[in-house]
Order: sequence, then C-alpha cells, then structure tokens
Amino acid sequence: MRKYQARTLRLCTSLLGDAILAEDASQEIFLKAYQALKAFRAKSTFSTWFYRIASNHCHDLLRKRARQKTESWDALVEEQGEQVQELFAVSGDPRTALENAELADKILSCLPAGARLILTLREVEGLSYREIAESLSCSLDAVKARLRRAREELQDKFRHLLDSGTSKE
Amino acid sequence: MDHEVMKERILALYDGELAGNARLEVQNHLSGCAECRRSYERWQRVAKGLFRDPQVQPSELFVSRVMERIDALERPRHAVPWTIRLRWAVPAMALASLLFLILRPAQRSVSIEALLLADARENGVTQLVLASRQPAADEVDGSIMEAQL
Ligand SMILES: [Zn+2]
Repeated sequence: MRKYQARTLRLCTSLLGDAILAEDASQEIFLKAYQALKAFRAKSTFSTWFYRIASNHCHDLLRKRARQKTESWDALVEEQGEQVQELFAVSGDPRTALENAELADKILSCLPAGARLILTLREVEGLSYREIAESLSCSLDAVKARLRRAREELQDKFRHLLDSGTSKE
Repeated sequence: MDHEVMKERILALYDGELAGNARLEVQNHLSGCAECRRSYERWQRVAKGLFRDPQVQPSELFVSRVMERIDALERPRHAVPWTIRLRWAVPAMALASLLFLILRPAQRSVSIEALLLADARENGVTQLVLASRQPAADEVDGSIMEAQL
C-alpha cells in the first residue's frame, strides 16, 4: 500500500499543484480502488489498473477546475515572461524552486486536462507508452499522437522565450 | 526519411521507447540534423522546467484516514437504520433508568438524575446515542462520497 500511496500522492500533487487537495484526492482514489477491487481482473497489471482509477479521478478534477480558471498563457507571458524564461533556462536556480513550482503549475493549468494528464504520466510518473495506453484505455498510436500534440502545443506557445533563452547563453 | 515520421521517433527516443537499430538510426539523425537537435533540446528544457518530482511525503495518517472513509461508506449498509435504533433506544434507556432506580433507592441525588434521564426521553436519548456513535462526521463524509461516486 505504501508504494501506491506515494505514487498516487505524487501524481495528484503534480496535477493539482496543492498538497491539501492532493491528499484528499489520493484518499478518494484509494476509496474508489477499494470499491472497484472486486472488478479487478488480471487482464492488466494491478499497477495500470490502479493508474486507470487515479487517472480518471484526476481527469475529472482537472476538468472541473478548468471550468473555473480564468488564466491564459498570453497573460502569463505578458506578466511573468522573464520568470517563464528563467524557468526554461538550462541552469535553473534551486533557490527559486518553490516559485518555479507555482509558475509551472500555472502554465500547466492552461493545458487541456487530458494533455496535462498524459504528459504527467509520462514525464513525472515515467510510465511507458504501453502503460499509458492501458491507464487511459486508448491505443498506442493515440498515446503517441496525444503526447506529441501536447508537447508541440507547449513548445509553440513558448518558442520565442525558449529561443531567446538559448541565444543568451 | 520523412521528417514528420522522424519527429515522432525522436520523441520515442526521448521517452526511452526505442532500442537497437531504431535507436541508433534516430541518434544518427539527431547528430546530423540541427533542426531536430534544437527541437529535442527545446523539449528537454520545457520538461525540466515544468515537470518535477514534487518530493511528497505521504502522511502517517493517510492509511487510517482511508480506512475511516471506507468504514463510513460501509457502515450504513450493514448497520441497523437510525430510526429503528432510536426506537429501541428509548425503551432501552427507560429500562436502564428503572433498573437504576430499583437497585440504588437510597441515594436521592442519583435517583433524581436517573428520573431526569428517564423523563428526558427522546432528547436525552438522542444525545446519548449520538455520543456513542462518535464518527458521525465521517458518516456525513461517507454520504457525500457516495453521492459523488
Ligand atoms: Zn531532422
């Protein structure tokens, strides 16, 4: 249980960017897993079965949050362009880790829920394409396409900051 | 090779999904193509900036809180319904008070207390039942959870 507890909390914290919300969401995921346990068949591994429940729950939470959110990337770049550039700099300053985490959360919250989820499963959780496909109940090709689209969206949005950051160094 | 196909393979390389010849082929392309290399490095920086291990420490109370919530979810299904319990609690308390009076007739203060208890009927009983069912808040939580599920 410890292993899944840490993983779930990490996923929820990465996606929700708030320790208290993440703790509560993790508890709810365990409750759902407990209730669904009877339906678990060894078709998938327990790990991906668990990630599926966690992913569904987080996706719902992110979608609910997206409806309340007013922030946009353009506004972020206008207000905090320099910090965003600093965030993407090759050598990050560890002293600004906390502010960076908040800024990263703001940027990611502008992504569609599904894009943020799949990127987090890959980049933070380190799931393979196959594991992501099972967790999100989609095909391998869909995983590749969704990951690519999400990455291109992020890179395109911040390209001018990324490129000017490179020329500086 | 088609550059569009290559872009997808480069991401697959980044994600550790390539092995053997496929891996070598993409690595060779990367070392010879400045555009793809820039794109690869750009994503590396974005990922490093945006996706960090949040370094969370699961709380010690996590397991017990989940168990409490599971317990609260299950209790209403197995427990005797509230109204039935209350209906039985009233005569049970009256009986207890009566026995108390019979067994301890000498102590007036206690007798009055017991009489008050017996007279209090529903109000008193409700309070006692509530007190004996401590995790009432959890049940509220549980019913909210159920409504959400
Ligand atoms: Zn190329």
